[in-house]
Amino acid sequence: MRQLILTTLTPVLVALLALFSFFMLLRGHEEPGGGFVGGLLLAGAVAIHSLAHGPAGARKLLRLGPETFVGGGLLLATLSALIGPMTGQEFLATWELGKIPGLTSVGTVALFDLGVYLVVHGTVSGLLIALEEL
Amino acid sequence: MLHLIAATLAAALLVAALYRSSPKSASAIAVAVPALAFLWLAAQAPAIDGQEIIEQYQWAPRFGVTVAFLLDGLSLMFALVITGIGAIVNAYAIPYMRKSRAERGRLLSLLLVFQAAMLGVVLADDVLLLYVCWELTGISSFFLIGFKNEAEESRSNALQALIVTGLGGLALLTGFLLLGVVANDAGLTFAEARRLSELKAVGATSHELYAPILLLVALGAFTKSAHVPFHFWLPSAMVAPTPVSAYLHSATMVKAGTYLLARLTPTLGGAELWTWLLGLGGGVTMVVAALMAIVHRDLKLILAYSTITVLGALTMLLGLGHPQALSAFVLLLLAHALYKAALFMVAGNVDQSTGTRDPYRVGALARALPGTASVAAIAAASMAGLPPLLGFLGKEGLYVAALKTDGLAGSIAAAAVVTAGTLLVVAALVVAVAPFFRTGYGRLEARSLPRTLAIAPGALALGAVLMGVFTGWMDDFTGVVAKSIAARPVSTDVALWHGIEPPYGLALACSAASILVGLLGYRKLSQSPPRELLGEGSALGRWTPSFLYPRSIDLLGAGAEWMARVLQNGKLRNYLSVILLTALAAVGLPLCLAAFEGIDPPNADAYAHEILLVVVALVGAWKTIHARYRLEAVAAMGATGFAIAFLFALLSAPDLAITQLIVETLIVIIAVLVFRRIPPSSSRRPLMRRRLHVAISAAFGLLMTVLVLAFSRARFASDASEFFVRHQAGKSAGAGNIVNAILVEFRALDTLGEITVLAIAGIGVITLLRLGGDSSLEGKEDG
Repeated sequence: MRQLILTTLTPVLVALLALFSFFMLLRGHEEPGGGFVGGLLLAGAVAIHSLAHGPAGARKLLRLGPETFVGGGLLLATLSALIGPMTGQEFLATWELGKIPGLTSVGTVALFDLGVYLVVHGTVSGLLIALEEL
Repeated sequence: MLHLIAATLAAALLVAALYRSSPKSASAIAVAVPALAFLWLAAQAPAIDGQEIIEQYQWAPRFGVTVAFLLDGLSLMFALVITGIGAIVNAYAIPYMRKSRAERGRLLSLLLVFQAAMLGVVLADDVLLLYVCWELTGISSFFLIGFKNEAEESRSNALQALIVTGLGGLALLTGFLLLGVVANDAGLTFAEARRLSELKAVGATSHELYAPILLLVALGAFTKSAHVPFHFWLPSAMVAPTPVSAYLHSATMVKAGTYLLARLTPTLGGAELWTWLLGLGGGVTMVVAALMAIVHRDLKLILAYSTITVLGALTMLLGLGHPQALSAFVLLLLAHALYKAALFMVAGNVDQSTGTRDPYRVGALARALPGTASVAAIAAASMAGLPPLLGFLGKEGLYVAALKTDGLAGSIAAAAVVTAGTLLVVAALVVAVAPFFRTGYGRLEARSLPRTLAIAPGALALGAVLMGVFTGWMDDFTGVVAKSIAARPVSTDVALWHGIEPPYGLALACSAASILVGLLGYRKLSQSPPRELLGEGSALGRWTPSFLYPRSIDLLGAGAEWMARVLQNGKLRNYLSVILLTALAAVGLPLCLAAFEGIDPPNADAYAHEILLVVVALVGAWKTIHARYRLEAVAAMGATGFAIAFLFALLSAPDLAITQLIVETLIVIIAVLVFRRIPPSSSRRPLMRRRLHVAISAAFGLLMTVLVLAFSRARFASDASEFFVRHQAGKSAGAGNIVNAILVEFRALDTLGEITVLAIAGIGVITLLRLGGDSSLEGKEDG
């Protein structure tokens, strides 16, 4: 019985949390939020899903392994830092492409934040899944 | 001069690349390159008289770092020895290692690398360049001593040499840095303060840092040149193949310390401390090593100890410092380089021929090895100081220098010199006469050797003869070198016969007496060969440095193990306690003791809901401590966390609040997942232990509180916050999220580092969890 409640609620909760985490990421430029919180929230979503469907279910949800997120996020952050030297400026120079009004600016900053987001998410999700698989 | 070093290194690489495919050309390169370097250097000789040649290259112009080389009389002499004897040793190594082409190639290559480093030491004008090359000689000698790397003894002795000389090298670096401070005080710029040619006029001897500088530099020189009590690595280094011993441990590497002291004579010399430190250090080394030389039964060990004797004599001469001492320094150094290298090669030949290096077990080898025998005779005569060889000039110079010194120093020096000289004669006879010309002893089978093995030492012996005969030329050369050591004109008087007025007459008499007494001593020794007096088992042996060294290494290892056992005992709460206690001591104690401005009492008026949240947090903390079940404790801890998160929100820190909320939730989930795998009820820990933990935690919390209050009182002159606010306006549409802006824009490099660390830690934890599996968690109590 209890499992039924959990499995029914989970898709809604996970979807909401995931959306919210992405929203937090984008919002971080202007309002409280940012990559760190967003990553944690997404990991929270994964945690809820894994409570209902087990670690295998969580892995299916993520499609890629958590370590991939970690590495990918780090790569993304480093690449965004390297855009500066590639265009003749110093390392980590910011470069703005444009703005989505009211939300965020698109450019190296957003890329970097996205990288942070992915790393935090990957680390915590990986930790949770590994603990469950133990 | 850079081209010399570069060419030698290139030769090393070529030999390493070619010795398998065409050993002949590899061998040719190994001999030709040093020989050409020798010729180039010899051609520079006329230009050196009275001046120095300086060559410099810009390395980092913005910082004033240049690579500078200096060629004057002193470095010319050393460079000639290094390249000349280098070529001859390489030529010797070719027939010596005829059995294994691969090993020969490796040895030649390593010898060339060492030669390049050694050239760097003597040609460097920049003290840091000198230091780097100094350490490079240590490293390449490590590989050379441990050449027979299959043998445990080779490896550990190589390590011993590396450690002893390496520690001395550190002292040397410190001394150089202090010398730089002195130079700065005297007004030199950063670029100039590191140049040896500039340091001469700095007046270091009257500076207050003089004593530490001298002691540190002397420590570096004494370890490298195997002075007592750091000498023990040199006899141990005799496990190296003979060419290595002939090159490094007689002619070049061990003379590096001597070179350093000679080079620094104008900078650090002339003071009382200099005279006594070098004089006593050298003198004691000289006598002690001479005594040790005659009690051993291994040719290479005898030669090693007699090398230490001469090194001590050279240091003592530098300590005495007057013109006769300096000219004796030059003569003795050259003579020793020639005869010692030759004698080492002789020892190598004896070893290859008979299979032993015990001079008391072989005899009458002259018939089997005629070439080697004649070389041995000449070299031993040079060592004993017979005219008209270079060794005679050197020994006589030594005696004259000692006798010409006045006062107490002179008497001590004279006594030491005469003693050592006599013992050296005995050693020379044991090494050269006993194996070749003594008859009537149980003989071992003596194989005959290829004649080529006698060519190299023969060349050295010939050099000893020629330089002894052509004294006029030697006089000029000695004058040039002595002048560059003393940094002022020095008159030298090198001749085979000086007449008999004192001190020359007295010196001749002493010389003759030492030879006679030496002959008698040799007679006695050959009748009753020595047993090992200083072996491992004997009572005296327990105090020798060579015995103490492995003991101290063992002690070091045992101490480290004990510390790891105590501190890394596997219990998480112990690690945490140690960390918290250390933080308390390191931060808390100075806080209590130092006068800080006092703490503002915290602002006491608060809203009712804020107070309520604080109460909730406190209740949660109390419940965490007193909970009976783990989940209870976790839930209580979560309550505290949530209360604090709401407080953050109320106090206008929304980012913190959100992060705290989500982190708290995740912690509860993680705790639940972990506790699943641990037995449900923990064994109650003793009450005392729990009270201790509470006390530590409470103290740490108190410390944090005090720190926060103290910081808010102290005004940092920080315009960082203003800077951020100002630039934030330009970055995005006015009121952006400044916290996030700092994280990902202003201080993005920090954040990049942080997520790298997070990634590494995360992957590490995940991997450990995967590896842990069921087996490691069952049956373990909570940690």
